[in-house]
Amino acid sequence: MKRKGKLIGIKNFDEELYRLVKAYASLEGRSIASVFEEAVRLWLETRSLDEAKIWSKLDREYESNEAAIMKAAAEKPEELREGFALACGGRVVGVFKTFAEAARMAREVCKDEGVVVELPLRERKSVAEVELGFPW
Amino acid sequence: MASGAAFYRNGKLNFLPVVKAVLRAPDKAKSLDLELIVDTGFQGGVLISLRDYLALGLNLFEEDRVIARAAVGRETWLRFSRVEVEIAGISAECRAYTSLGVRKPLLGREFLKRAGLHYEPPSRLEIGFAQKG
Repeated sequence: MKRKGKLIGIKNFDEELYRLVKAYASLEGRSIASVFEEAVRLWLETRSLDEAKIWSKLDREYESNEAAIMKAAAEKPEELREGFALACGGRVVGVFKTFAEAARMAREVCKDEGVVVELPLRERKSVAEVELGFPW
Repeated sequence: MASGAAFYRNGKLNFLPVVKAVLRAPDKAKSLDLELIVDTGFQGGVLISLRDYLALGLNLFEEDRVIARAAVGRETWLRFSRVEVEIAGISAECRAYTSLGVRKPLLGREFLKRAGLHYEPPSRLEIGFAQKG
């Protein structure tokens, strides 16, 4: 069964390359989307697809858990004043005195992903950067 | 001094410094024996594969996501949690990072600044003397 398609736009795509894709798609009587899909599938085969799926799932869970902590901090600031807040499954599990206590609880109750945030929450202006020397 | 735990591999690669380490999750429920490549260009504690990160259950208590900048300028997202690193009986808590496609686990400056490192190939590689004074 053909899966539902999504409209996407790509900025700064090589114009000449796009012309070639269009020309070949036309010659082969197929859509440009199907050519891109084939190219992306081939590219994904060179990567670990399972790992990418897990990563993507962790990302979704992380965002939902982080949002749950932010929401709770805005709604009940007195409950998230100090310690370490743990969230998983899209809800705040509790606030713990130490990171290790939060980790022990996470091991018990969290299934796929958990977020532990040190309190009080600090406003972040940008994403932190880490220097990574070795090109692994 | 961590003799035995630290050694050189492959002189053709200009003596790759390798250390045997035990990584423990912050709740101590799981641990993993790994050989880490010493990388003074890496700012963090350890960089491990997603498979090892999941094996330790670090996905259950993640702290944040950060952008990593490689020596060649390439940027990539990292996720991280805390981990206890033990090398030849010397332990320190530091951050364990992971990303997609990590093939070689690294030991970075967050651990090395506490433990100390003496790199003098081909015979001498010491780690851990800083803590012992």
